[in-house]
Amino acid sequence: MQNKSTDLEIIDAVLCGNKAAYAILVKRHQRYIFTLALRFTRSREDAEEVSQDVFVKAYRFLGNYQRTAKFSTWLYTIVYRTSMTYLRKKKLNTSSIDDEETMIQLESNSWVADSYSVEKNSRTFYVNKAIEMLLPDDATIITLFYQGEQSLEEIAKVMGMEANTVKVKLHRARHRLKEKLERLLKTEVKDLL
Amino acid sequence: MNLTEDKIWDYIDGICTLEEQEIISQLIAKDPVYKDQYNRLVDLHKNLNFMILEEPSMAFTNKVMDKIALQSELLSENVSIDKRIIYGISTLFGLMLVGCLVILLKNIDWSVDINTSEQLIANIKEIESAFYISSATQTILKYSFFMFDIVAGLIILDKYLRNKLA
Repeated sequence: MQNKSTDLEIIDAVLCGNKAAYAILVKRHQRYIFTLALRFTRSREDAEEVSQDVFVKAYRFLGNYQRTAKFSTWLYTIVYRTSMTYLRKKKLNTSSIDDEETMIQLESNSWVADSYSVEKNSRTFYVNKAIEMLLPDDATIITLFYQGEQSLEEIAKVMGMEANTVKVKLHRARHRLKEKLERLLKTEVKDLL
Repeated sequence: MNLTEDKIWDYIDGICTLEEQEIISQLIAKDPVYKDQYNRLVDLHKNLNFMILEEPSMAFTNKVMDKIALQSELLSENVSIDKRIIYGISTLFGLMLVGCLVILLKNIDWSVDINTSEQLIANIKEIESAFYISSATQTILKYSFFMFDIVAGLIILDKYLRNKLA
């Protein structure tokens, strides 16, 4: 099975008994899934666990996948639900993440100050850090829209919302992101925006 | 038309009507304030598009495939346990119990009038003799049950660990 095969061709192969072909799908989507899981869990270890669970679940229910939507959209739906279950289990107080205090804590975390000195100078580094400071829902919408290349309708399907609600939420998320960036960069923001 | 940030985002995302698109592009071209706001948002939009995806651990794919293999193994194990075997073992134990009961009832001397304790002891001894097992057989049975307990314990431990790993 070649890596350039489409998702649907690989799914057909897996359903026909070629279990090993599933590894191609995992390799293809793992970075998106992991990034999305990280938006919720905020810990690499937990994100890895959630992502692995997502792929195992997807494999188990691969036969149920309706080919009306993109495979990635279906996969993101599983990520969203698994992450929500994870958050419920962990009983994370997600609202506190948006607090000023939490933001200061995040800023003072080692990842800002240590080995990222080169990366720190890049614009994407700051954008990524600002996204990490957003509420999980806001970060998810931005990640799905820009990194997952999902349309508003597809995001609505993933998050179980109306497309219009997603549009409004995307506007708000970007607005908050801009604010976070401004706070994060303070004087540097003028160069960035 | 008052140009809000949301409208500019719609314009950048390409989700506004043609008419709106025309008006917004004119406003951006004419008004330096809107132009500045538009340029800032476009920059952010570009940065978001070129954002780096996070990378999971090197062995991520292998871990997923191992988990899937383990789960498939557990599923096939569940399927391979034939319920008829369980029913067969239960029937065997049931029959053994019924057999013991039959021997017990058969050896009771119903004609004896059990009024004294001596008579009662004699009757019990008679029943005991029906169940007499030699000491050698007793030892074999003892070790068999001991072995059975060990095997059962190991099976339970194996199941517990598999569930924990899954």
